[in-house]
Amino acid sequence: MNLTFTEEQRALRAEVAAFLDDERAAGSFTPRVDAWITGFDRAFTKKMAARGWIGLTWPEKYGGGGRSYVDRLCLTELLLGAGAPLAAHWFADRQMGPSILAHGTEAQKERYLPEILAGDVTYCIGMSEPQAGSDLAGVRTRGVRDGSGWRITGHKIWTSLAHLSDYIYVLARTDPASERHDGLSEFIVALRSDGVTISPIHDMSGAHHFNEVFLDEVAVDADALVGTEGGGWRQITGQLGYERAGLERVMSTWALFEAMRTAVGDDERRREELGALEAAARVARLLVFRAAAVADAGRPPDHEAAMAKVFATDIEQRMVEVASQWAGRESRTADAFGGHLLPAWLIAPSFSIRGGTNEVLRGIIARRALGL
Amino acid sequence: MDFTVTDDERAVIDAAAQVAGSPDPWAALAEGGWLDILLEDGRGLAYLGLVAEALGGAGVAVPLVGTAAVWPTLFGGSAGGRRVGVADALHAGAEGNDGLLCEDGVGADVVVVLRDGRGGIHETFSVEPVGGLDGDGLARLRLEGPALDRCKDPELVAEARRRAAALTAAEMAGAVDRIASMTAGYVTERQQFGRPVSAFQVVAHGAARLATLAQAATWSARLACMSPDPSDTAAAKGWISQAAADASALAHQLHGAIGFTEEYGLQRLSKRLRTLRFAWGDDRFHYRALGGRPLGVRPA
Repeated sequence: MNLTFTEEQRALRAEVAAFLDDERAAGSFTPRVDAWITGFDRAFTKKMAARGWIGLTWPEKYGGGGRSYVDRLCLTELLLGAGAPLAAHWFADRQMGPSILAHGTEAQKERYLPEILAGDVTYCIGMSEPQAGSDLAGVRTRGVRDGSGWRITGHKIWTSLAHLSDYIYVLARTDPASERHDGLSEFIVALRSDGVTISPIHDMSGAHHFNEVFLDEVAVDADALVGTEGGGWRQITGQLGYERAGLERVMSTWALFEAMRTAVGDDERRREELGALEAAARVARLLVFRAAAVADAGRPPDHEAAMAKVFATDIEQRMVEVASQWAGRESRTADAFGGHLLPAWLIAPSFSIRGGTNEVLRGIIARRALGL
Repeated sequence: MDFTVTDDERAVIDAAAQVAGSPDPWAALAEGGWLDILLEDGRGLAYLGLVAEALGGAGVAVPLVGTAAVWPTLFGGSAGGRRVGVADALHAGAEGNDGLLCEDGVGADVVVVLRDGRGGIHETFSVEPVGGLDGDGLARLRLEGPALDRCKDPELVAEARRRAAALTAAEMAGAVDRIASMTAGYVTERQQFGRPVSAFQVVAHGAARLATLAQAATWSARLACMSPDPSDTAAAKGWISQAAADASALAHQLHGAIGFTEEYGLQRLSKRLRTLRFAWGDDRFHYRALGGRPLGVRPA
């Protein structure tokens, strides 16, 4: 065990910190809560790409950085802490690229990875459906063979950033006789294809990042299927570990936390409450690093990722509550805590839902870690 | 960052389990050289943390912190097998008109008094036990002479306190981990309504919460025992102190009546956790320390 950073990791962190100082000085972005999902900025993503900070963990053979998942956390911790706009590449970098690397053919890797690494394309995740939320194995979207390719028909929902994305990663049932976890497959579908309709869903803040995506007999070629036909469930459970165990689960509200630190002053009670949040956030961060270390050891983290997410998002939600108590009546204004409190409160319910609800995650922990 | 247990660490964990399970854990600690490991090995505190985890898991109360951490840190030598109690005037309520509160004062051969950035050794003293729970060595200390020797370096005193808190956090983590595994085992064995109670989702999720607290406690305590940064220790001891109360309550709830009987092992661990929560700074103490300084994400 060595729970401190290596020299190489410290060097990476220093490099990222210097970059962020320059960007802030140049005013290239405004820090905001949840910027990994709502901060869509192609120019910023291109800067990430130019520094090799997209695909940091991917093999060098495919243009990646060949570094560890722990190294990637060293990078993302500082980016998330700064509230930098990461949405244009986040899903592809975190989840889709690794999935293509793990399950794709050589041809697929050559076709899809370079444009992600260049920061030129955005992916969204087509998992949830109206009747398949936590019970994801209930997806009804169908993939039907058509000549050498497929036709995909279905209705996806809660698809963040679909309206700004180039591709959607779709989970569909390809064996009509199958049930539950069998007979599911994963496809990469270009959103500009005929038969794709995207309609917005506004969240309770009024913002538009969610969408419904309707697929009506969308034709894709054979190369769109990633991995094994019928083996999609197994592939997905691995991807969900990467989705859940990132520092975005503890740092979505970091801009608010920084504002709280500025406001703490000499008030003993506030110091104590801030310290409680700081302590819990540090513990959460360690659980996230542990899940990354599991990934570095060659196994997608499952119960480790579930523990990290369920623990971390609770702290994010508590941060919002403590800040609200501090602000009192001012909590109702748009200016509270540098303008970060209301946006954080408006998205806080999502923390323990998106990427797996607490209920689903505790089920995973009970089964996978405890064998219950 | 590497979370895998090395061969050396595995050997320490195995040896610590033997010590914790032996009929005389204090003698076994001395024989195994654990009380002086801080003087001999650069990774001594990390190893001692693993020993403390094992002692915590077994509910064994020995004066490890004063003897193996505070003494060698302040004086650069071995306490020579004597049991070291420590009275730290820093903590609220520690110093009253009728004496200082002393950790592991009951049965101490020698005591160290930490006050005003100094650490003094006292061999002539009397103690009055004040701990209300089994195994709590807390005592009211009356000194009967001046200090024989003193460490006058405030940095060493601060480091002794930090190591004491880190080791206490590790001991608590061991106890939390143990009550989590006891509980997971119990809910699968205990049958009600014709099935193991773990078949009820609310029970399984309670066990999952407990397992999560145990992992969080273990890794934060291990970091505290490895990192020289005092804020890692404050985070670990503060958070674990609060989490231990939640973990105990949850474990008792999931065990039902058997959990609060004298014959069943849970009570010993929940008592020990309550004792250690309020040793070397409780949650509020460490939270105030953390909240009063600029911290957070930074390049180092």
